[in-house]
Amino acid sequence: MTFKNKITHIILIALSLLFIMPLLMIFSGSFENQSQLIENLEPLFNSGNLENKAKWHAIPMYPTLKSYVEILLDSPEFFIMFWNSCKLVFPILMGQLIINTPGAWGFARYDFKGKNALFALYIVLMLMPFQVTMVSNYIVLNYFKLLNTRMGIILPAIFSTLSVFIMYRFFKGIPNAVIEAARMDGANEFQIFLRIGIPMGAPGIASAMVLGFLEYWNMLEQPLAFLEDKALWPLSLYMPAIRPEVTGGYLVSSVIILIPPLLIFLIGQKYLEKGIQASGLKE
Amino acid sequence: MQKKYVKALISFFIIIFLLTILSRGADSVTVAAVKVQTPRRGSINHETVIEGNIEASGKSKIKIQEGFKIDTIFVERGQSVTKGDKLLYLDKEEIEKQLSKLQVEIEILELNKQSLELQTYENIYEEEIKKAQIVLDRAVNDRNMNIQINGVELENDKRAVEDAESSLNLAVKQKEKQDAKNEELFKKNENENKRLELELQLKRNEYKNVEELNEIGNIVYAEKDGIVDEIYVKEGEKATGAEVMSIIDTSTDYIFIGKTDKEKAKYMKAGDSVSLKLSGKTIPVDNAEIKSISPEPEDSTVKITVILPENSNISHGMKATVKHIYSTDEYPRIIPIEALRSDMSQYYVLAVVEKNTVMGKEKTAWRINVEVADKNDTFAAIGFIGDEEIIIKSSKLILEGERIRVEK
Amino acid sequence: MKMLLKKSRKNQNYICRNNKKSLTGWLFILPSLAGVSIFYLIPFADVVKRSVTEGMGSEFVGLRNYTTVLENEAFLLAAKNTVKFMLICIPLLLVFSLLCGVMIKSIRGRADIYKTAFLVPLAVPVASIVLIWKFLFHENGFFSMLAVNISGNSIDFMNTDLAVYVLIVSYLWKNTGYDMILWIAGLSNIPAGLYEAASIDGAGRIKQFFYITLPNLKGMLFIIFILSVINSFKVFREAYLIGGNYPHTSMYMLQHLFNNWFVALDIEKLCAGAVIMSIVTSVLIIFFKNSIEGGR
Repeated sequence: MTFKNKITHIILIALSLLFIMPLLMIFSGSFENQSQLIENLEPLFNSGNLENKAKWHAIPMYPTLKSYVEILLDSPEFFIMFWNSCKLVFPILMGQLIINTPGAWGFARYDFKGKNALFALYIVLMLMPFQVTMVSNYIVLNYFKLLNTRMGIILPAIFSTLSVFIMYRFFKGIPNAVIEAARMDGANEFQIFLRIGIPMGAPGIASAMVLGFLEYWNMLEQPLAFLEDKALWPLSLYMPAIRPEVTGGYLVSSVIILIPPLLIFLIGQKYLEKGIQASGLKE
Repeated sequence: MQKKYVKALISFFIIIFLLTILSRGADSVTVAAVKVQTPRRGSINHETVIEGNIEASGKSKIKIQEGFKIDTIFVERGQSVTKGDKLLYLDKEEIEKQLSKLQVEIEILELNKQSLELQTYENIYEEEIKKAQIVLDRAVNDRNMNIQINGVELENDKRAVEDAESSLNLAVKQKEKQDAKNEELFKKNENENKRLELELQLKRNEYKNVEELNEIGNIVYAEKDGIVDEIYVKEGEKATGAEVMSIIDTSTDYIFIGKTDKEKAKYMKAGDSVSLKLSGKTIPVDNAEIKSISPEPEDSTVKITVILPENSNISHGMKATVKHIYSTDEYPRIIPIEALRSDMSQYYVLAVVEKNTVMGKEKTAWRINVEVADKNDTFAAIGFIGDEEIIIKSSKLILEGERIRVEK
Repeated sequence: MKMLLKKSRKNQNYICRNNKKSLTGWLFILPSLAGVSIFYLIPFADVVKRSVTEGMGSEFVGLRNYTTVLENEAFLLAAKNTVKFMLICIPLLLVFSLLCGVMIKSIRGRADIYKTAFLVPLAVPVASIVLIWKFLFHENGFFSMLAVNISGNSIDFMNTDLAVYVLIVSYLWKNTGYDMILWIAGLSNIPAGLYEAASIDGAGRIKQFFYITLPNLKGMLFIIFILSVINSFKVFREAYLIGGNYPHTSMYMLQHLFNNWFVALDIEKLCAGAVIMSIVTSVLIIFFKNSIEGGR
């Protein structure tokens, strides 16, 4: 048993390293000297088979902070886009908190005509890829003159039904007895929601937030399609045009971009797992 | 464990926030602040300043001919003189000597001439011819008589006739020789006579001139009011016929004479009005007119002469500067000269253009090549551009494409 | 019995407080419902309408737009690529993540670190990872170099039909952790008692795996399958960042097509395409729902 255990461990360690490796590459590359990077990566930018293959040094050949300085001190655009990302993600999460939490609660704890149909609709919407909703999004945003504005991205995202679904699962899991007891004590519905529902469903809310953060921090399609004004672009759009000369900055911005989701992920990992499970668990 | 991550997250955002401010600060330091201006209508003034001196336009020169010696000079440089003042005392000794000499020479010449005229041209051989003729005649007579008597030519007679004939021929030839000699002599004397005549005339003229000089008084007086300008001789020197003194005529106009480059002179022409400032004084004299502009042959300068209006404060010898302004016609686009830039062979300006970037609408510097129609030290007139604003001053060196901040 | 009683009491409550609860329920969901309608439902109805009309919505043309789309070469290519992609990667993903999940479940000691490692890719933004993929898969990249060392020929992943493998690797990397957690949840739900009974009966581990584990995971399988299908559409991000708007044909996915139609303002095709996709997705979802309910 122990032997098998050890082997399994070893396999898992190997796989884990494999999975983390790209992360480590990004991290190490961000400290690499820019000219070294150019030399290493230039073959990637030329088509045609070259004698020279691209290289990546696990430990930087010429460690330097220069790329960091360039991005962090010399590029105000980077920060503008960073705060743009924040200005999109946090309002979305706040909005989801305010609107979808009651929504999930309503679906979970109350029965009313058409609830099932509606909820089924919600699930359908949840699983639609952006390709499908893109057109309808555009039409609405155009109608409300929200194209090329932040709200045009924030509002549709708030009403995404995935967070409703996740929180629904958790709210559903709250034992009826507790609710009943509260009702007996004379609490009204809203108080029940606030005093019992939210605290007990906190894991669900947290996991919805974490998943939401990961999703919206990396959001690509909507800003690309609907934000024309470069001054509004979030960080996820910072990098498409890669050239050898900017690889240093590119790597640094990659590191910086992934720090918030990584930290949030680490903070909320438990909730994330619970959330993933909730989206899959049977009713 | 989780708390650690939460702290890390919060610190991360704080750091990013601080870095945002920092990078903005760094950026604003590197972003140049500029002043802008749209090109305006205007003309370009070409100003030339010429330094020079004031002179009186009338200057009279006193020349003393050769022969005189400057005995005494009564005035000195800068001295004002009035009409009739004594200027010089001339020593005529030389002149008188010369007169006598000339007189003697003339007499000699005349005598020579006379002697020539008295010349006779005798020819002694004429007598000889006569004599020879007589002899010949007698011989012939004798011969003929003898022929008549004797009926035959006597040898003696023949020889006598022959001798007589040859004597006659000889005499004739001698006479002719002598005639020729006399002819020659005659011609020679004629030439000599003419020569003497000419020489005589010359001497007589000379004499007349010296006589005239002699008649000049010993004292040279000032003919007009003026100021003694230059004195070129010293007492005791012999006059050479050149200027000995120049006197400025104070009743004439003053003029300004200065020199300037050909380049600058191309903006000026005769008749232009200029303003003149006497050195040391602050109030300029306006409405002076350029009288002439003439190139100096030795170098590439030109001499400018300016007529000054009546002004009692002016006097000869003052230093002054003349300012001439040539104003072009109005150009449609004038920019300050600091706004004009050039690289290698092309002039250009930097205009402000708004570009849409991540930072929002950013103003950037945009290069526009221009043709320069005219320029001076402060302005340039440029060819056609759009209606953008031109950067005229910046807090630091800017390149094309850089972001800029516009100051009001 | 207990359960029966509970149910009836619930029903009583249901009847008594029906109206009030109903109203409260509506109130709670109202904000969400309002937003969802405005931003998704109503516009979608508009999309459906546009898909059957032409010329700015004036002419009713029935299913003509649908036929246009279904005959459109680009659409067929994109659809084919998408299906091909799914057929390759989803089974791969399912098996791989299951194995990882089983491994993690079986070890003694801290499993969290491994879980974290597998889940980290979820947190990494796509844009960051693209350079790494480029490095690995470019003609002059890492794998190509290995290929040269082995076979003497370099491999260009990006510009050939092998491009789809880039997307597959990227997809596997990103989603293994996600699916693995689901498997683990499913595995956790299998009562340990079943295994004990089986091992007492003499079944080895492998037999246990095939006869206990797998059958019990059937429900999970469907769910994970559906979710993976949905997530596979998101692989567009990698394709876009690696290949741009017009990548190599084998990487050309439906979203590319839709984007390009979008830019070209090809509204009719867009709407018809969207409706087609939503029908397909809905069919899948019906499976999903049935599997959820089926597992009850």
